[in-house]
Amino acid sequence: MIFKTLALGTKTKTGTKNFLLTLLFMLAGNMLYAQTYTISGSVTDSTSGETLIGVAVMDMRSGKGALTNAQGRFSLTLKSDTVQLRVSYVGYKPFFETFVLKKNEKRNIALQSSIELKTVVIESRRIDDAKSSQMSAIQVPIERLKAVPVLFGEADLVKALQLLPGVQSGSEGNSGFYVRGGGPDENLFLLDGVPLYNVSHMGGFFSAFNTDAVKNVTLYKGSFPAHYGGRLSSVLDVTTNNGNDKQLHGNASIGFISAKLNLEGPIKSERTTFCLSGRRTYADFLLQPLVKRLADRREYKLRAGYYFYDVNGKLTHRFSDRSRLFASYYMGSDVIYTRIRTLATDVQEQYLNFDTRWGNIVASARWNYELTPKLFMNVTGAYTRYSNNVGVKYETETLATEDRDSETSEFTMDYLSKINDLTLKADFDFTPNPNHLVGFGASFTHHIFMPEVADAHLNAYSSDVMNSSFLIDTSVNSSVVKAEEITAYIEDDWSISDAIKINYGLNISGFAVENAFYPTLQPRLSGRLMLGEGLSLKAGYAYMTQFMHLLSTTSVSMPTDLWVPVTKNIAPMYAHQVAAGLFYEIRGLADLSVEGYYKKMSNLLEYKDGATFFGSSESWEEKVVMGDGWAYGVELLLQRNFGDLTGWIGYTWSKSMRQFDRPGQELNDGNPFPAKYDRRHDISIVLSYKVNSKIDLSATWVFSSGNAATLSLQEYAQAQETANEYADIDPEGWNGYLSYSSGRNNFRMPNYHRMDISANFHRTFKRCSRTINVSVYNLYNNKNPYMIYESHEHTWNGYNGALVQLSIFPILPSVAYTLKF
Amino acid sequence: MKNKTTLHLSLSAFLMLTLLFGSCEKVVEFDIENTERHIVVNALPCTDSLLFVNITYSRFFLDNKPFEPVADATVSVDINGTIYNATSRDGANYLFGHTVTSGDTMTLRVEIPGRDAIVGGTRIPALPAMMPPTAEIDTLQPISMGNVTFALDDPNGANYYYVYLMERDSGTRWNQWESKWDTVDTVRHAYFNCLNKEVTAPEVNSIEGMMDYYDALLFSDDNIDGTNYEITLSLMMFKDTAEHPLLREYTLVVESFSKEAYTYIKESIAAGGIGSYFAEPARIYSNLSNDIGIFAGIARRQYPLTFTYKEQEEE
Repeated sequence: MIFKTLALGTKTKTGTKNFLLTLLFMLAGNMLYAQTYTISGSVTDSTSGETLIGVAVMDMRSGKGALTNAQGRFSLTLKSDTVQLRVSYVGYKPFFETFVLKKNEKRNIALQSSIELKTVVIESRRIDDAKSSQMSAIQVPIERLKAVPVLFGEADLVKALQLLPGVQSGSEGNSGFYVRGGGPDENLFLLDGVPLYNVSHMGGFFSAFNTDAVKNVTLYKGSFPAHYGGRLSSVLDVTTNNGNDKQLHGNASIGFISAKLNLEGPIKSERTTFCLSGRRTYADFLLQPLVKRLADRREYKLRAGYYFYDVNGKLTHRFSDRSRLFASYYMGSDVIYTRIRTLATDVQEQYLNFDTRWGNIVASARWNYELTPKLFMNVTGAYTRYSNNVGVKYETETLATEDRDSETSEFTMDYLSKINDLTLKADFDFTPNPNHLVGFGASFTHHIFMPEVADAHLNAYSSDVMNSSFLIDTSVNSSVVKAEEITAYIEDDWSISDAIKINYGLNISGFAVENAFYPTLQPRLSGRLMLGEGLSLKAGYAYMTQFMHLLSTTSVSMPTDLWVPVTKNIAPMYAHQVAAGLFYEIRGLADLSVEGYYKKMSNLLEYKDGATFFGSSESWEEKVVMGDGWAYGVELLLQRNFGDLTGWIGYTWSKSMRQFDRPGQELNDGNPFPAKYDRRHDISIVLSYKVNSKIDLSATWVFSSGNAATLSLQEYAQAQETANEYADIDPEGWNGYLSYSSGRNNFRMPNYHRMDISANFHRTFKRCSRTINVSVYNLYNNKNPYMIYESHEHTWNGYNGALVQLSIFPILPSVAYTLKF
Repeated sequence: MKNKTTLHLSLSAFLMLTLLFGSCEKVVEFDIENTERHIVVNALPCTDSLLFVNITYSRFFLDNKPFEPVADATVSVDINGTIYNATSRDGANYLFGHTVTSGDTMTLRVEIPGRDAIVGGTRIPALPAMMPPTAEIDTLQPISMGNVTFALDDPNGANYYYVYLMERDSGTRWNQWESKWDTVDTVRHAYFNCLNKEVTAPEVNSIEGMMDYYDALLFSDDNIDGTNYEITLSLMMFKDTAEHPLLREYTLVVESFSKEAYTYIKESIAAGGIGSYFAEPARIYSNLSNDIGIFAGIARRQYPLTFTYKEQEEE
């Protein structure tokens, strides 16, 4: 009975029950090994002391191995015998050691970077390579992402990931993230394990991740390990630098629109380190004198601008080899401001202040402790906040004259939306033997949502005889929604034989809100079958649930986008995804993979026809409808990770559909319609070439089928009442017409294609080095569609209509200068 | 020197940013031949009015011409079991000799050669249960506030209301087809403020409001079912300073809507609202089969208003 309660969206209780029992049996029954000892420890960079993630630690004699986890730790349990340990990581000299394993051994290994390999800037390692059981995932070192040619010379993590198959950008230059037909809110962005709700700066042209602060990036598009949950379509797990534990280092960059500074070093040598990064755009500074010169008149003064900034900080303290503490902090914000001071008359002054701010704050503390050589523990406490605030303030002040008393009035209006999370979680990695890596843990999150709060305040004062004053305070939709989310998971990466490896697990989550409780039981399974040398077949299944939605009306990331929780009326979204693929290592040349997927999504949320966040006293729940979606596609990736020429070619064929046909919640008359970012073809070619130690070159070419858009291509007469006498004058309805669209997303925008190139010129000095990056975005100046709209230009004899395509980025050269010390 | 450098930097930044963010637009060619025109049938039969049905073709949005009337339609209406045919046509309007009354049950049928018959039905609701309104002006100033008060008694059952004030004055209007100015009586919705908080917020749809000002109130059945309200509408009025007559004439209109009329009007207004810029283009509700438009009944009470001067009475 309990399984029936837990299995939201699962049709058979016996199937779920059997799955759970099988999982427990498999976990318990395969952990018994005799005469074994464990080698455990960590792997770091010998120069900086930075922990390295995903390093292969292998016994060459037995062929058994392990990978370092997110904290750079590994555990390898082997039979008592002679061990030939090989520790290898791309870009580093392999480490070898031979010894007889007669007891548990501790090894903290510092890898030296390889000069020969290090000159190859583009290096990466797929965690879904042919031998891994993981599929639909990729781990990308930040150096690779930095090498991708970029807009305005500002390396951007999210936009580089958009070049991977299965990942789509929103519109031109946008850091919107659409994975395998999912929506922009279905991606879990983790910064050091803590969710980040808004990853967009500048309307989506930049992401919130400062590449100077980032150490490692892993993207999951499907077959999610059980320790991830809460989003339907993807997980982007970003790990920041711990900081150099040997000496102070840093780098400073100045680019076309922003400047960055990164500092890292030891506070107490090899014990406590810090890493601090900051970034800010400065166009508003440069433009301010010009705005002032152009706008200021005797009658009014104008100050206006836009900027964003973000700060990353991290402190790491090593109590012992077994115990470490990490404290991370991130703060980022976008600000648009306008201040107008008007001298209406000699005695009256008006002041208008318009401010829009949005941004995230994330703070976390994590204690990493090795309980036993086979068991690691991570305990994390975290706080994350996303808020946006649109504020208007209007003040007037009238001085007293002979005829009139002095008057002041102040009107303020604020539109606020906020989400606060407090999280406590514990994660464990258990390596009973080389054939198993077991993860388990639990978390508790307290959410506080303030989805949309509008405050208006009017205060007027007159110095007349009565000294009268007038005060109004109004607040709309100021309710706070509190919710609790609990999660527990268990998973095992099990090497059944040399040919077969599976990863299976279970994520159990529950969300309590407004006297409603939504329990879910989410099984995960992926497996690999080796078909030959370097050739494997993989398949995976994941059931994902999401307890919150992002209400968005446009393709551009707007501060008015609204994060809202499920409620007693709005059920959680959930998705089933199956994927299968072939993976082939073409020895000495490249890796090739072909993956197909099918994803079925339910309880997706959309605004009702005609509804927006704007201008209505209805609450958000009354403006939305729920429906379903499905997506399927094939992804092909050919990538080369070594040599002077590196890069990848990606191709995706996909289809993503939506259907909102529940009674009273119909969109498009209940008929299926393509999702906004349904695209048939996506191609990306990313190449980097190392000319010599001083110069490297890179180029990107992308092509994608046009996005879908809803256009009203016809107009028709609006019904007139006889009481409206215009109807008698104009029966053809010139004064009132309605627009008609044949269906949701009924129009295809033109195809998109673009080439970017960049060159890095390196020079090393005695105490520092510098890199000059020269890049050109949209090299052949293709006018790509940003949006298409119906234009109505009124003329003396009616109006002229046109379908107009707006393109925003022509050819854009940029230069960035980076100094490393 | 420093100012010059700053200016140069600023100008450079401005030029670069203008280049970067300067939008470049181009017109997308579109094949008009592929867009088939719809038949649009509109009729809001209203009590005490002669029934008429407006039938036009839709137009491609790039067409710069008025809606073309459909001239070859055969239009009939089944009213309470009796079939009436249109007696004449005036442009796009097909006219009937039947005066609409509350309780009429109607089925409209429009037949056009080569197309499927367009069919829709509605029922004329009962007249709003209300007493005639009272109307007052608060001061003798040239611009002052007028209050219109009436009681609306809503019975149980599905009822929808539309309340507005019509404002009439004389003016001129450009006739673009004959390229001349016409002198017309201008009739429009007056903006008003509703003084009853329980009526206006937040349950009732406020239409095109500027702060708390409305040009109409639209009541859904959900929020007024079985409730009796005394409603006061307050509007800014303009008077001649010499003799204090009102420069404009006002009429209070209270309409009972069928559910079809309510849905159509609500969606039409929302589609033209300021928030619609941010919304996906939406198809407006239609209760007709085989094409678009609306056939929905309305029962109307309207009261020409005579304002009394509150201060004069007090004196």
